[in-house]
Amino acid sequence: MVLKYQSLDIGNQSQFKQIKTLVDNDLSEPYSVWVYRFFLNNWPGLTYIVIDTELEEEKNVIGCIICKNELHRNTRRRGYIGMLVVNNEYRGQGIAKNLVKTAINKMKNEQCDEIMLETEVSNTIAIKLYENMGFLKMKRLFRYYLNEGDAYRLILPLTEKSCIRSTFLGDASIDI
Amino acid sequence: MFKNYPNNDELIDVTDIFKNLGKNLKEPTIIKASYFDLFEGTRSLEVENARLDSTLIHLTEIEKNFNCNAIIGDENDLEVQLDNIISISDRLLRNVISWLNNYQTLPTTILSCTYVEHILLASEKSHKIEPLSTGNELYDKTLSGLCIGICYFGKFVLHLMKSGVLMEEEDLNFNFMGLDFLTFQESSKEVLELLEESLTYLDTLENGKKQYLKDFIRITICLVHIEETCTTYSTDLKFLNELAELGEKYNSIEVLTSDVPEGSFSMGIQKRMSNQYPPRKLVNVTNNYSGYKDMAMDIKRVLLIHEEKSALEMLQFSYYFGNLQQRHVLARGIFSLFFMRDNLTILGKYKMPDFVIMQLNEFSLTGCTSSIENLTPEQKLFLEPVLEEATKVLLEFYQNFTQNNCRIRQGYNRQLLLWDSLQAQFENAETLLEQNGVINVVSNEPVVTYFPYSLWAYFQKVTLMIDFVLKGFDLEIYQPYETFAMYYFVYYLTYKREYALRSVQQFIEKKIHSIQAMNKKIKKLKTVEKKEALKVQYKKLMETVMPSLQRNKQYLNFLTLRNTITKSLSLCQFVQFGVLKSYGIIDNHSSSISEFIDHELIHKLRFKSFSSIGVPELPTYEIFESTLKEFTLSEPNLDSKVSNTIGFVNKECTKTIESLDSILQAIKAGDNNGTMLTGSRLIKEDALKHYEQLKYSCQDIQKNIVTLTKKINVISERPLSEHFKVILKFSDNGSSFFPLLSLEDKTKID
Ligand SMILES: CC(C)(COP(=O)(O)OP(=O)(O)OC[C@H]1O[C@@H](n2cnc3c(N)ncnc32)[C@H](O)[C@@H]1OP(=O)(O)O)[C@@H](O)C(=O)NCCC(=O)NCCS
Repeated sequence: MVLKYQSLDIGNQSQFKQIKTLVDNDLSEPYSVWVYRFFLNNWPGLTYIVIDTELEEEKNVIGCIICKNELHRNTRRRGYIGMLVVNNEYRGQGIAKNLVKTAINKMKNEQCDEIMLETEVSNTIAIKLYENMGFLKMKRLFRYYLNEGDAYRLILPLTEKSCIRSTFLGDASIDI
Repeated sequence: MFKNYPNNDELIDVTDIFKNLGKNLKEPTIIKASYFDLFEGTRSLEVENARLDSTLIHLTEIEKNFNCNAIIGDENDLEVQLDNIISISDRLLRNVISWLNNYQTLPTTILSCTYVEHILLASEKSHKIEPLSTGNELYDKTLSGLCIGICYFGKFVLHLMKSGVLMEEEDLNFNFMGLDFLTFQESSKEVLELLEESLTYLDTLENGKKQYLKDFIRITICLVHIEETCTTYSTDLKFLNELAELGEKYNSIEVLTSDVPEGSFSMGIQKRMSNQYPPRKLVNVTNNYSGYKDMAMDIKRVLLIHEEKSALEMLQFSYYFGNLQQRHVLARGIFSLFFMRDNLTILGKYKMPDFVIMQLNEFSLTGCTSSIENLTPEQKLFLEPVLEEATKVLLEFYQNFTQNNCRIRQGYNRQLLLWDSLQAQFENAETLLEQNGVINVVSNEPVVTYFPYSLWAYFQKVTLMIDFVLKGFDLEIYQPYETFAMYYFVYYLTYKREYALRSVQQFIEKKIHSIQAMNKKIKKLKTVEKKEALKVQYKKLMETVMPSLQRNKQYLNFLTLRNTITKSLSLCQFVQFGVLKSYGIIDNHSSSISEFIDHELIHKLRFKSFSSIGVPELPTYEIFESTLKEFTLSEPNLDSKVSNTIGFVNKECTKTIESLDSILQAIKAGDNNGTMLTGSRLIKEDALKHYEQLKYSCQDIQKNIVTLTKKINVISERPLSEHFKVILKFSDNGSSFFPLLSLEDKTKID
């Protein structure tokens, strides 16, 4: 098995479809095509896929990470991991870890002050993965997901700005 | 289907326009309204996507053609008809609980009942209640009454949501599918009449099964009455007691849930009506009648606050009500509206500004020269704007206790800043008052003065800081390696809080003393007039101020003891951490290796909430580090040092258990022992439970530290971190604010 990590080719419809199927099968939330388009079209450089080169092109995407990068309250730059999935048969080989690392490094280069994400409280595998990379659980969100589970919001700090409330970075409203 | 749906001749074909405009779009273009962000997007639907398109829901022929105005089965067979109506009513009532207690959606619970949908549509059309018209009274009176009663209750729940106390989707789902929930029905009178009529009709039947239906109608009547807690602010417990009793009765009775007639419950409404949500399967209800009891008990608890006799009781009530466990969603909503009323009063008794002064008087303001009633109109101008601000902050503080568990912690986080700013504003006002000669003297040499307003804000702020950190344990936010920093910080804050409490105590003691000294002074005075004048003053103070001061003193005794308990428990927690660190089993940093881990930055992020607070100052990262070093033991004689530490923790816990016992006794005795005022009369059970849990935690810690060291001593190879992993363990009876640092065998888990 030869795996290839690469960023998304936004013009490639097959990749788009495969990403959607991969995520639809594994994340509990059903997302509309709009959500994928929102991430992929706005930040094509922040979606990475893993390809098993030994498979046919229409079904060779076996993992993906989908991110965005925005200014939060006009004060700090926040990277956000929207989705991360590895095909069931390829798990436990460090693929997710590689994907997360690649994406974080990219967002770091784009001057992000922090990386944020949400994951279900019951998803111990994902929590462990992120915590081991330095993410901190900041809040618990009550019944955050449509399937009724609570979620955690996790943040990885990359600069000092991440550790100061946005109110004191120049935003007038209170950051909660 | 949709309101004001246009006729065909009013529609135009836009296909060509659409295609033409689309031609010019480049591949990555997204068309969206400006407000449409990711949040909106994650809730958007997609045509032809089975998980997101409710028009793709498959309905059976029976579901499609279900006629709500037709009798199901042999209409002359009473037994059959009773079974039909019992099973439908039973399922509907269980659905109410699935909706409210188990957070299921409205369309998969109440609105999945085809009769409910039918009645709501028909009623909306004719703008009046429209029962079923099958010609059979079991349908037309009983089932109709039940559906209409539940919808009327739904209208009340909607009112709670619209008042902003409950969060849509999070606390409750009210996806009403574009239906009108009897908003035209101004009072419950007609609904209750219908339900009463149904009871009268059921009495005429000669079949034992009618009792089920009578009880179901009674449950519905109780639900309809719940709104009175927020309309007339009724504190009559009759219906809540009945609801609890019926809930308990039916919890142990198997009714006919599995036999509902096909089509009477269906996903149909999700397909037919205006639906902005993805399709969802119906909830398979199991016996959940005890949920009615839970709901009724929590609402009853809320209404007790009406019996308060002091601001202290209101404060303690809210704290034990909200901070310790999440209450039923309706109870939380009702609490907010019942406590802070539409007419801008607290419980209909106190105006908002008076409420703030009442709270202040319970803590630090009694007997002060700067009490508002002692000030001139000009002096009042310094304080009034700040008191106005304080009203807002205080109301938000109370409101926070009605939120769900997770939001309460976020509320604390937000409020830190509000109280911090309030403290600064009070400080300014009090400085100006001092400059104008309004001085509260604690001692003359050296001159020590006292700022009762800012001290109160400071005390509140530090308490919120502590509660914020401890709530993080309750919500399982922290990793084991963070426990040292979190408990050390709480310990540090309890010191600051102790200092604030001592300042108030000193002032009160001084005040009590000076009033008592007046008596001696009277004897020494020479002239009768002067004697008389001082006597009058003395008598007045003894009658008015002295009892309040004594009360404050007792309350402070309680606060001080409570503070010491938090301090000792936190100390024991981080001392245990020190022991584990001494053996290399844990460190105060993440043990994993990653290029992104910056220990100091992670620490700073964790303490982000406090970094902007000037007083009390957040200890630096270096202080956290060096403090842990102080608590880390090393060779030589490591084992004997550890055994000394065990002795210390043991003693600290024993002392804390004694303190807890005296609080427990004071609560049990209704604060009648003369030394301590806990203010917990109205929420005794919950307060007792809280301190019992803390007591268990002390006992657990005593056992835990022995277990830890025994486990460690068995293993001779090092490093011990290869053998053990530290986990935070929540014991059944202990407090979730102080989970145990336990050792888990690594070989067992891997
Ligand atoms: C979470 C997920 C992406 C992990 O993918 P993966 O490629 O198997 O993960 P990796 O092999 O890179 O493992 C990374 C870390 O995850 C954790 N992990 C992975 N599998 C685990 C398992 N079965 N049990 C416990 N931890 C596990 C470990 O911490 C591991 O690090 P380690 O090997 O150094 O201990 C994958 O399980 C998945 O697609 N799950 C469904 C979708 C999902 O939950 N996504 C995350 C939501 S944001």
